Amino acid sequence: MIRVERLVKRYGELRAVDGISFEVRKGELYGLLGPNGAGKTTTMSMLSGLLAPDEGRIFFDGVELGSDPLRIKAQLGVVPQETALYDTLSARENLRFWAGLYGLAGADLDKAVERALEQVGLTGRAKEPVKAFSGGMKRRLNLALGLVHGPRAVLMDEPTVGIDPQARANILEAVRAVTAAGTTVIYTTHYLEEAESLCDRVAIIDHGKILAEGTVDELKRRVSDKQILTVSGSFDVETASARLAALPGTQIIASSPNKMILSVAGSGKAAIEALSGVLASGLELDGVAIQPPSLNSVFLDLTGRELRD
Amino acid sequence: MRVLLLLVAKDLRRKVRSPLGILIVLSFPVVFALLIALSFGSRGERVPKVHLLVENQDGGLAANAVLSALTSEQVAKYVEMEVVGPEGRGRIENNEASALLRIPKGFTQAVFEGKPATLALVRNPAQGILPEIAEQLTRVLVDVLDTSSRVLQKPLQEIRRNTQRDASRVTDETVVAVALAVNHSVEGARKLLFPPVITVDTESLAPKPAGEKPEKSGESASLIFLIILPGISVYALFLVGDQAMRDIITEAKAGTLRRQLAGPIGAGTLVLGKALYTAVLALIALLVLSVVGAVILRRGVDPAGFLLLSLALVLAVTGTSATIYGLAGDERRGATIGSIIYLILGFAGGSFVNLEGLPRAVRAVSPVSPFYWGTTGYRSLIESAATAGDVLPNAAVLAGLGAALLAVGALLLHRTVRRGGLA
Repeated sequence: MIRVERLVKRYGELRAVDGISFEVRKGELYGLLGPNGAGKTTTMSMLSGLLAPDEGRIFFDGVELGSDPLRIKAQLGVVPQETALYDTLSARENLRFWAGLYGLAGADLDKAVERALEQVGLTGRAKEPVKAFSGGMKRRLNLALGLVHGPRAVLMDEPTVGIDPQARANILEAVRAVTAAGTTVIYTTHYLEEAESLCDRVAIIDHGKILAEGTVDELKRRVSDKQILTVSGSFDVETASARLAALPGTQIIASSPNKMILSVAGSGKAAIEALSGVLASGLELDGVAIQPPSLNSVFLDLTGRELRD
Repeated sequence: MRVLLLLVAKDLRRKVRSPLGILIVLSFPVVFALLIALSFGSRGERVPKVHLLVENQDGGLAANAVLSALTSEQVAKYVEMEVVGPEGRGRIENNEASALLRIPKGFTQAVFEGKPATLALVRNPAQGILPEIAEQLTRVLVDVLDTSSRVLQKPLQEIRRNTQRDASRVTDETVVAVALAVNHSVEGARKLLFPPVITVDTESLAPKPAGEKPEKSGESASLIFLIILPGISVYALFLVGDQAMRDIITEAKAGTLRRQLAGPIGAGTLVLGKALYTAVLALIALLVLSVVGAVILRRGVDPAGFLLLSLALVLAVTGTSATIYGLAGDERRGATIGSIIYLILGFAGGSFVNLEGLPRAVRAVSPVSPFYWGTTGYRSLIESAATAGDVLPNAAVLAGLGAALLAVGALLLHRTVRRGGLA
């Protein structure tokens, strides 16, 4: 349904988006996972027609976005990262305005507004001005505004940033319901758990490039023959590097003062052997952890950095 | 059209929910005019004169020049001067006058010798704005004297030498020498002296000449309101326009502009919607001000003329604000540029000071300001019972200027919005 071909966006010397390509199938929940500054929001801005790409093309149902932007945008829903709401209006008034903007009127508009309110659990607070809402409620309304007109595809840019776990759970539940109803969703996040629990497929993005793409299981399999060991303690990088690099089958993928991250080729047995080697290395250690295969270990393996860094 | 109406309705609803800014702007003309009226301490038909006491301790040539300046025909319209002795201060304390000007002994000699000289002014705070007028008048006199004293230093010394001798012995050669010295000094200071720095020429405060339409009997409308309200109201309307158009930047900051642009509407529709909202808000503000004005002034005006002028003014308000925010690009710059431009245009256009009271140099550029055409149009509708035909030139200039500015402003805003500059 959505196809992106070699998309590039430059800001001076910086290539914020550097030739990314991907395809999202109808009804799929596709995740763009990456740290802050990876190029996720720039990609979403180009997908929603707010930014013109310097290179590359975007297709919705085979129609290029630039050829008929208004018609294509009418079928899209956008949930921006910031809560873009009218604070002095009520939740219902906000929804009515946005639904009207997308062409709904009369009974259809009334129904759509009530459905959206229900979808995000704000029916009981529909008459209150948005400025009286908590951060979580504003986030829920922000999501509802992107869904109220019943779009065929929704672009959600980090819709759970900066909210409490309860509000996040509500939003994730609403997102699942949207995809269950057959709506295509592109969802950006830097939260591993969200990508793991929510997305059908995930693209790991960093420095404007897609480093890996696939289902969560496919991505994890990339590191299934490797074990990631995180070693922390009171040591200098040079000494620790020299001693740990000497361990059989071990590769140092990241090092910083008092912390080393190692990739160990092989199964769990190899990890235990590497662990024994670390303990016998004579380094003053605070802790050693073996990470099970996860999107974080995939990201670590690909970039040498943790997603949370 | 449906989308435009939707955009305008949304903005109006937001304004209704958060009306403080617009209420302050709308109350500004009435409060301002009311304060001025109260400061003059009268709702009467005429502005009271400044009662200025002058204690002349010097009695010399320069002191007499000050006295004759204060009794000149122009100044005498506004100032009633009375020469007093040492009892002057006591009379001020008894609230018998607005201010006391004391010319100290040795003042003339100091002026002739180019030495520092100080005039003392004692104000009577109990008489509202009148002592302020006396002070401003004194400052003008001091400026003139100071400049004359510096520029005419040589001729003044020549005069002093001759006045110290027997006046009957002044020869033709001496007169010629003084005249030449004055001429040379004035030529050298031409750039400083011309055009004159300040003139006091507020004709409309003077009694109306016979033959002009008399005020209705029993009419309680204050002349002060009549003079001030139209100009300040025009100024307030431009501020309303500024507030409304600034909303495009407020929306950009809130992220709602970006969200709308991600929807099925183009940048042009958004800009047009904001311009329409500005026009509608200005029209509502104009209606409110008109009702207030009608209640205060209690004068009917030609409805066709009023409607014609008002619609043209609304177009000018919209165009001006669109251009300012199109050029500014961000809220802070827009607010700063807007405030400065509106103040300059308002001052030059006679919104704060009656046009006749403006310096000649400013009056020469007044027609450049849309405020001028609005203010003079409303004044002629109110004061001279002008018709639509009479205010047609005003309306034509305002509409033409407004349309041109709106085109420019809309293009600038459209370009900025499309490029994501605001969003």
